[in-house]
Amino acid sequence: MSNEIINKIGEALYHFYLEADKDTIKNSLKDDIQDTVEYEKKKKRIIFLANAAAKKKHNEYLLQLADKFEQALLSNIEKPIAILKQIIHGNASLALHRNLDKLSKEEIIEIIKDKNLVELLEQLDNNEKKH
Amino acid sequence: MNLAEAIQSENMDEIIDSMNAYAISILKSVGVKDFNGKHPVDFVGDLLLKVMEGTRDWDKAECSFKEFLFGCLKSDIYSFLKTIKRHSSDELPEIPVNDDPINFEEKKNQIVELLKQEGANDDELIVFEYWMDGIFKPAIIAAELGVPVKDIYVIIKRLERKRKKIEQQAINMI
Repeated sequence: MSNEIINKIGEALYHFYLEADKDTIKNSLKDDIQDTVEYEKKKKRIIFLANAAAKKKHNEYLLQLADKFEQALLSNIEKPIAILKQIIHGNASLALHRNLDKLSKEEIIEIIKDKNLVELLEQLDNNEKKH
Repeated sequence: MNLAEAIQSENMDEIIDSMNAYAISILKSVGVKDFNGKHPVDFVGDLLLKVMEGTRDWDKAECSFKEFLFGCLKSDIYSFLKTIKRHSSDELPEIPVNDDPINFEEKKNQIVELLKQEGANDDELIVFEYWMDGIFKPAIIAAELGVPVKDIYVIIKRLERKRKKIEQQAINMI
């Protein structure tokens, strides 16, 4: 069969499943899933595992970043310290942490936990590469 | 938005249902019964773990989390189908070369005829024409036709039911 036609049908069905509302999807699944109890069990397991993996990855990033900031404070490296100061200044609830010299790792985690960790990590890595 | 935030901000229950319905649709269309013991939902589970472990990099994506997951799922399933095609080349449709414009029009008209023989009504043929013109999003088709998008969903499901038969006949015909 025509490759272009197959591709176009495939593309259209991709957008259909991406866009279709909850009821349409439920109706579609009703025709195709024989054991709904088993399916719901699998789905719960997938969501649980995905949440656990996402949290684990988030915590790994947090610890990795906190280590980098801690090292930067000890070694008095300009750029990471500037980043920390910027975060603290941008958030009134972090005003208690103005004395950067005395920050513990837990306090660093408290400061950075709500930020885009991947972006922060990239900023620090780029800074390390430059030096 | 980081991964943990993305997964918590979305209704993952609904997204998994949509992804599973999409996986079922692709896998059903190739006519192979056994996917190395995997069910369509297993492809969804495997993909989500890859995303969570960072094998699929959400941080660099520039679309919604749902679009990102759908794109990855599509790519994973097609890669999987290519590997099983190597083992059972008779069971899957061959991957043909691109058509020239005249050939495409001719083949499209033949498919339209097949759709009619399969009982497709005017609504289905109109939506099929939109697809062939490269307009795929149901919301856009609905807006163009001035009908509720739900009506388009119903038409698409009817077209999808004819898909396997049409593709099979078309392979024999062309």
